[in-house]
Amino acid sequence: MTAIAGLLALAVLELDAVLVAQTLASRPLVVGILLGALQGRALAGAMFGAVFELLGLCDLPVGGRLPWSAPVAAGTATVLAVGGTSFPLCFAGGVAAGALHSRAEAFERKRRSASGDALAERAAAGGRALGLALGASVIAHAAMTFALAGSVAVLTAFLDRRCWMDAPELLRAGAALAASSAPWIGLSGVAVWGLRRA
Amino acid sequence: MSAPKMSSWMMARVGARLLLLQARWDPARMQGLGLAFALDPWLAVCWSGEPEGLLSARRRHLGYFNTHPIAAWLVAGIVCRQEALAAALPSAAREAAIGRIHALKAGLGASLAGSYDSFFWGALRPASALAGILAAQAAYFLGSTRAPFWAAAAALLAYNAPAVAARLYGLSRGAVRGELAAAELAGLPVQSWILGLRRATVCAAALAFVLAAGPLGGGERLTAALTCAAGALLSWRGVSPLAQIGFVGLGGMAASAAGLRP
Repeated sequence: MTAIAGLLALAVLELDAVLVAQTLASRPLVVGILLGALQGRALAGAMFGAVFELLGLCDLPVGGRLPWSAPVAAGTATVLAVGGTSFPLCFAGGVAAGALHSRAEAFERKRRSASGDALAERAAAGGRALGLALGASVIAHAAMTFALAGSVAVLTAFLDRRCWMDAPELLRAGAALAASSAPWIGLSGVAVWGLRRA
Repeated sequence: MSAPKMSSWMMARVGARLLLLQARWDPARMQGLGLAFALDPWLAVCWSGEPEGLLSARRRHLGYFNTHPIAAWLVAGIVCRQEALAAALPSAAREAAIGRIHALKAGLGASLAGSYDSFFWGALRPASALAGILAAQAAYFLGSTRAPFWAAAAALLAYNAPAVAARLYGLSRGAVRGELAAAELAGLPVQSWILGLRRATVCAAALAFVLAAGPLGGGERLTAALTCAAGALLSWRGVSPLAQIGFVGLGGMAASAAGLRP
């Protein structure tokens, strides 16, 4: 139940990334902390939030560029961590959800383009057509985020419970090392990014 | 006929709708439909006596538009002012005013996007993230049990204090001063702010590393330092952080296969 509440909160918060307001309430740090707090593990959420914040900080959403979704990554990893999934798989699940989310969003944008002319024609006449279309777009996007993050979380949790302990040692060692090095790589990436531009 | 003045209530309506500027973002029109939605109540006021004028005003804002979401507030304010002026002109004199609206939207959208992107996305966003992380670390060292909440509050406040001010100022100033509001921005030392914020981000990242690695044991601290150094080198060469993590994973697998414990 708390996982569903967490995923719903993620779907709502993620709207802020592109579709609504852009107050950065959707930034990974905030998403991780809020989702963690909602499920009673604020510290775990803060940790994943900080890691994905650092990793995603240099990918600027400028123009039509659609980088991997660090907020979705942080939210999915937090939901998984609260559910007791092992640390490397939480991280991997988060990265997978973030990467898939940007693909799904690109598809969503193409679909919106296809119906743009017809909508513009209706909107020119006035009335509520445009407002309703904007609302529908927001709801559809939130539903997509919920479904995608939920699917990745369920699949990752299944893998963790059924296969992960029996997976080859080298796979587990590689995943653990990759996940534990992420904060340092993120931090150095931000420092270099700032140095190159300062 | 005198141009209508924008009331506070109308400004609030346009501002609230601007929050949905990108709700139907698409590659063809980008923020065009969102801007049309935001401007609609004001267009209805400006062109209230002329249904044909209102129809064509709506049509001209349903096309392509793109800028930084915060700069859009200034552009919207200026467009509101220009629409009011155009509607107040006699029919024969409107063509030039409407052409000016198109030119302003395209020109200002593109030129403001560059500086707003650099400041808000390229300087303030990373600086505010590091402010949040440092706030959490400071709260943790001071023994606060609410360290995560301090992080979220610091990150949100550091970004939104200037962002909200820029939105409100942009819309209200643009609606009153028109194009002059954009010209006033040129006098601000934005480049030095950007440079200062980026330098602060680098220093904050170094401090965050010291605070995070300091309490670790000798071996772990060395590993963290080496990972950071290698990460910095690879980042300098243009390798993305996610690719670097992939390489580390492969390295860990190789080490494990070779019988080493990574």
